[in-house]
Amino acid sequence: MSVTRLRTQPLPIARLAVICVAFLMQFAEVQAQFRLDIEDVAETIVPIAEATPPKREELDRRVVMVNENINGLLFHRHSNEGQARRSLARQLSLAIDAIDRDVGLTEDQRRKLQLAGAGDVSIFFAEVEKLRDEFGEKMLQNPNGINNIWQDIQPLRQRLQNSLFGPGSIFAKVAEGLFDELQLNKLQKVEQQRLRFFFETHLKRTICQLERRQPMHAKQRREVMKLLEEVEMPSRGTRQMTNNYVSYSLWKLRPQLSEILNGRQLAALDPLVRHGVDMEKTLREAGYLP
Amino acid sequence: MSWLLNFGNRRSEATLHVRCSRSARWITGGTLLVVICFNASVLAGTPKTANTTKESDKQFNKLLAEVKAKVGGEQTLNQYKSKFMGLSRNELRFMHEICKLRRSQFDAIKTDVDRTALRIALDAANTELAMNRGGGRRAQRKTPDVYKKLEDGLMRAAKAHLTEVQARAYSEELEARRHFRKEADAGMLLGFMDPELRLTDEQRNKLLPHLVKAWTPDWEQNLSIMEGNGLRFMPQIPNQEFRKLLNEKQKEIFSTFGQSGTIFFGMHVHQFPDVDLNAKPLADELLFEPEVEEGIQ
Repeated sequence: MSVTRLRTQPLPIARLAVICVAFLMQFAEVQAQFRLDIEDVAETIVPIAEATPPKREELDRRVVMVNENINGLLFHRHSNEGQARRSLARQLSLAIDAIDRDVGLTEDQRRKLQLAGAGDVSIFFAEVEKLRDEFGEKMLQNPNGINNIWQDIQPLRQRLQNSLFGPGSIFAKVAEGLFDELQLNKLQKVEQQRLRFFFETHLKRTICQLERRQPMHAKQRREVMKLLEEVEMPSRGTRQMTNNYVSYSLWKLRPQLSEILNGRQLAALDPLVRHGVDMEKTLREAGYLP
Repeated sequence: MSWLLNFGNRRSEATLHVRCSRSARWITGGTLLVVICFNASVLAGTPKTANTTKESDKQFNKLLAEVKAKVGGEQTLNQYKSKFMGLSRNELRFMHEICKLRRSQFDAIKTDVDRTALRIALDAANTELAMNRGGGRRAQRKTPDVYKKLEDGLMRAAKAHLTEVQARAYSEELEARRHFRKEADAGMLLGFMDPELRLTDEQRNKLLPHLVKAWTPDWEQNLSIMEGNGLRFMPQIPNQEFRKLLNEKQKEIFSTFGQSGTIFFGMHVHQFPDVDLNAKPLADELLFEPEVEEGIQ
């Protein structure tokens, strides 16, 4: 019989029946086997209260899982810790070059800044190791302990995102004590320009948020931007703190803003900036307010 | 016809008859052709325009029925409707402040804009319902720019019902607002990159126009996610132009930034602000002086 004929002819019913029966028997056999395994081990299942600690292989797997989670949450941009370290080394080099460009550094000053930056990196990774150990321990006791990792890892993520060499770091503290008056003035001027850029950007964002609620004329926007041009910038700060400073400044300048904006616009602005007044103490501590 | 007859006196009667017949045929034929062409263009034009509007209404009604049939559909639609009607009413009042509308212009635009707001509310409700059911893959491709749709709807209504001067005044205000928003978003993006790239003032001023040019409405979602999650969710930017303005070390660090492209974590009615339509002085009747209503000339 040719292949073509075979393909076009329907399978005989008897042949089909044989295949079905064979399948069912196989299935039944598997079922029987399964029932057999459960029955075999039923007597060996230990009640939960009497369970013994997991085997060595199980322990290592959990520790590996903790490390993978921490690496993924902290170093997602860099794939792994090694690449993150190399990237931080580049950032440190760039930070030192930036200061050199702005104020001019001696070799001794460069060396000290390099050491200070390396210190910040070491402290950071020491905290990461501490977190690994802490969660490794938690996982040993309870596999669900990994669920709280986000809360503990978030501060480290923020530090990494905002630069390890910013205000409050060893790098920044060493830099403050390292420069003469002329260098310090130059550095402060550059820093103020940077903070002024953040300030204006966040002010524009706040205005855009306001306009979602109540549109403004182009003239009103210009006048608001001009009013806040007079606000003084501190000599050091972060983008986030500058954002808070914008809200505080808008809140404080409300009487002047009432001459530019109408009642509806002011009412829409209030919820966006009200929290600024609660930031007064924090802003004073960060050097934004006298 | 006397001049024709006199002319024909020099020819035979048969020749004259033939000449007249030929001319008449040409004139008649030509006139008929012109009439047919004119009618054809009229017939071709009108039904197509009518068909497009009818088709659009048909699709709208179909989508409306689908959304209302879904569980929670009517409630979601009503929530979006009240938000977007409020936003469109705010915009309409803004238009009145810029263009000094007559009452008739205001009412005509209000009708158009309310319809636009309803359409946008329907799309938004449909997107949210689709995403809630986990089947919103199509909705996830692109962040719907609701505000731009509203502004475009207002601009169409302005062109239809306002004078050229009024429409131009409103268009300029809209354009200025859009440009301001782009600058704000571009500045925010630079602000996220600055702690690592250590940009100079000159670099920031040169990079800003590139980012403004590359801006898309999707950036809003990226920027809100970046606030808590850093540079991993950076939007797509024109790398080539950007890198030309960086030094070598900055380029190395820039290459570690993740450009995640479009992010759309979903549509929810609470993303949009509430507007109390009945709060004074928002009520329409208070906008117009009872005696004189004059538009910009």
